[in-house]
Amino acid sequence: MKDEESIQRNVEQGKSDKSADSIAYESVFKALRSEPTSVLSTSFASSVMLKLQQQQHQKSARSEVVWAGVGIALSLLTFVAAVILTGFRPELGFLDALGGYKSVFVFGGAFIVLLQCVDKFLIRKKAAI
Amino acid sequence: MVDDERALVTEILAGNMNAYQVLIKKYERLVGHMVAKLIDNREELEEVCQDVFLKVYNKLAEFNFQSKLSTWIATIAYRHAINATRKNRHLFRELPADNEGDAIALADDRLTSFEETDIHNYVLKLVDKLPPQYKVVLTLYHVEEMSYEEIGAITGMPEGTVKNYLFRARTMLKEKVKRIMVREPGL
Repeated sequence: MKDEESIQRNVEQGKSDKSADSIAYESVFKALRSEPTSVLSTSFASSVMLKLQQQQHQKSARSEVVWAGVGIALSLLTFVAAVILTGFRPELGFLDALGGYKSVFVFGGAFIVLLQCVDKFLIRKKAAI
Repeated sequence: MVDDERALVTEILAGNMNAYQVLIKKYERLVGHMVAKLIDNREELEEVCQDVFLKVYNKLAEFNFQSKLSTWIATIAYRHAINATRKNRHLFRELPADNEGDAIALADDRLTSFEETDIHNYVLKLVDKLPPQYKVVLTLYHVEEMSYEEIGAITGMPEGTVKNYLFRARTMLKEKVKRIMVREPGL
């Protein structure tokens, strides 16, 4: 092991003793030092720059969405705060009269859901077959 | 050199995209060679290398000039390539206990005459069959001419392990070449 190490070191420093081991090491080192063939396309840098631009575009689009969300949330908060602070009570007009027919609204909602389910699970499935 | 790097990084951080293109052109060779030792598929290789440079761009503000820029970029490339391959492959194979074993089965026994090829290509083919961590260490040391310390920083291996990998790989390659030389004395 020690010998092997010193042979490697000597060959690396260009001091070959022309033994079989040294000659074999010379060939190995020469091959190892050779520049590998290019592995990336010639347009590699341009591709990265393009990807980078896309990434930055996506980032700015994302931040716009975030800011829009923050804006909506703040507006809602302001609205709620204003309602609470001013003690505002909305006048529902004729809708106040419908307040006594809650069961009709519940039935209407449930009926629409039922119709959607029937459409999705029975009618569309059969049509697909 | 360090001043050049500092100037380049400062330019990029100031938003100069042309400077970043210069950086890519400067280090694409290093990243390409290194990632190619871990990923065989050409398309995947190109994509991983692109992702490496995207990561480099996004993290550039964190670079603190404690190491060379090349070492820092190579570290990102190595870790990214390892993560990309980890799902599909068992990366860190070891060299076979018997260094002359069949795990690195190559064409030598199939060739009727070694004159058909040359030692140079033979060694490169042998290197190609080595476990990835050996290939990376050999490339960084012999092609990129990095120190043990730099290779250790990039791969996260202790310096002793780097030296050991280099020693074992070179010994194994030498044995294979020697065998061919004995068989083909004219070479």
